[in-house]
Amino acid sequence: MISDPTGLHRNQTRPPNMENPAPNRRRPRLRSFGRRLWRGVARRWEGYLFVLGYGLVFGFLGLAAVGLTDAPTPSPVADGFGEAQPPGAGRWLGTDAGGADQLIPTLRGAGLSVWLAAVATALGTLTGWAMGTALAAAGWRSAGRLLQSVDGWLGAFPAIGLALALVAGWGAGAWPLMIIAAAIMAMPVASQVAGWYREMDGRGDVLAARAMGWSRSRLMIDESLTHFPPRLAAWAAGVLPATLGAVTAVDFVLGRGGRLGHLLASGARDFIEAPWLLYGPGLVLAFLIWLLAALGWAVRRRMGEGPPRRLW
Amino acid sequence: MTPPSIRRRHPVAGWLFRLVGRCLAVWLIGAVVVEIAALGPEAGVGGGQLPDRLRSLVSGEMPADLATAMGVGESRLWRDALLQAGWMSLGVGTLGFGLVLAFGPVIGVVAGRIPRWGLSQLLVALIILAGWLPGWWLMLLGIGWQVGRWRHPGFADAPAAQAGPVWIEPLWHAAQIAGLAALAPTAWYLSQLIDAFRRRAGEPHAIAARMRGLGAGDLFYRHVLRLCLGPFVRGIDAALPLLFGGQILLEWTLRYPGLGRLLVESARADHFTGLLAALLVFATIAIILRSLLEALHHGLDPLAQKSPGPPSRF
Repeated sequence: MISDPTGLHRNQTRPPNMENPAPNRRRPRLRSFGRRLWRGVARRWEGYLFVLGYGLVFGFLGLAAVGLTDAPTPSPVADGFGEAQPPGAGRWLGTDAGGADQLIPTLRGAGLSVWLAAVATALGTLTGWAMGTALAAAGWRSAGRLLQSVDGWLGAFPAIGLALALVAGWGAGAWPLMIIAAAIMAMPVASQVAGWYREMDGRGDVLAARAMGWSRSRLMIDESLTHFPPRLAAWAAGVLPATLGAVTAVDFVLGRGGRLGHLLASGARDFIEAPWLLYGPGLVLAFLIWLLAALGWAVRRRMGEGPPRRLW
Repeated sequence: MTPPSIRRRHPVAGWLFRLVGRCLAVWLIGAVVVEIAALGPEAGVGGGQLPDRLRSLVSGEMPADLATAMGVGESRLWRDALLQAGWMSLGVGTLGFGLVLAFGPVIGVVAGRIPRWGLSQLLVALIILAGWLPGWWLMLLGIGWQVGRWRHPGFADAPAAQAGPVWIEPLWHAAQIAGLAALAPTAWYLSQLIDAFRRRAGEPHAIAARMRGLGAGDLFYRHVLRLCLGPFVRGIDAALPLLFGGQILLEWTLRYPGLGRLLVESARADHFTGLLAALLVFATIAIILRSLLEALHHGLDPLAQKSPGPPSRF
């Protein structure tokens, strides 16, 4: 069969709206790429906005955390406030007793706190997902109920109290605190994931697929790759600001770490002499938590998920 | 797990049976957590000392540094200090729980009854926005006010006692902590409730009822609120740990001699007996309140009575 150089079958007619009948005309590559890019952006603009929003928060504060390593840490003993100055032109958050500008340590502390909270949330979510999936994959039918019970019993404790108890023994450094926060967070996620697998087992489409010969492990993989990531992302986005608050609270009461909580604790100590040392980090923390809560709300709305079942 | 026969024939005995089982499970988990903490490199005490800790709680004395930090009186016995701290915290917890109970459901129903979805969202968003403020930021404002008033941050100290409103001092202190601690759980409860309302209002039976001409009020009370009794009642007990978490931080920061301060001071000084005691008391109160609310939900909600399995989340 001789093929038509235009690529059409011989019985096929040309589309009437084709203005240029030249065969195999190639569109300008750059313009075509630009159109495709714009279509992609226009179709998924919410996703790009999420990336932009989270990128702004974590990017700038990450740079601050990494780049400002010479930032002065609060001194353990207040030794006179002769050189402490309130906020003004050129010193937005005021200066401490030694005359050092508070903007740099506050930015660095905020960066460290935000990144610690983000990594702890990601670690806790992934650990919980792995625990729930492993128990569901083992085929232990009461696993979900057991996880739910343990989660309910653990949920009777204030999570801040659990974190403080564990930090008292294992230290308040970045790594121990991150692992402790992730461990506390993992159980609710595991319980939730096990519940999702239980829901999956009773769903009509899954029963039909099982009847058609699909194995349960194949269905589990399919489910965990398609349905779970948006749900887990919504959960993590919802709980992230609470984790930031909890991490800062632990630093605040222990007065260690060089993060936002430490700055708040030292500001509270010197509150009567220099109240701006407390209000500066407090404002930054409130702004960050609001921003992350707003982003989390938008992510949850986009994914169609409710608020997290438990906070700290 | 209560045997079904006991649950059916003797509901009160079944409830008590479940409550005791849950308390035992929670105490076991609390002891395990404190043992894990004591095994850490910074604890310096090692594990396996649970019997000693329990014995100390019954008849031992509180360490001197902790007693000084807590401001206990002459008797340094653990049981006396715990009783005193527990009594102080009970006032704060009761007030806080009452505030969540009083404002959460009422604001939720008012927001749900507003016909314009945007307006109801605005009403709730303001509270949620305030709830997302860390409690201690509001507390900082409170401290600022107190410094301006008494020239001393926090209270329960000599300057506050001399210059503060003495005759209502305990109630005033408890109310300040409870009000701040109740904000976040109320906001979280509201967000759960409004989400449940939104989902129920979007279900086909509710849309069909609306299309048949049912009024907004009837639609809300018959088809939305009645089917949301689960989150309406159980959302409060799920918010309890958040309330207690705020209470712990605020009690320590405002120098209120309650269980929260005992917990934080114990963590700062690595005294695991105090940690164990405070955690167990908080968890026991949470379990008792949860069980009561669960029973209330079971009595109110016909859907819960028809459900075959045990109640969820336990």
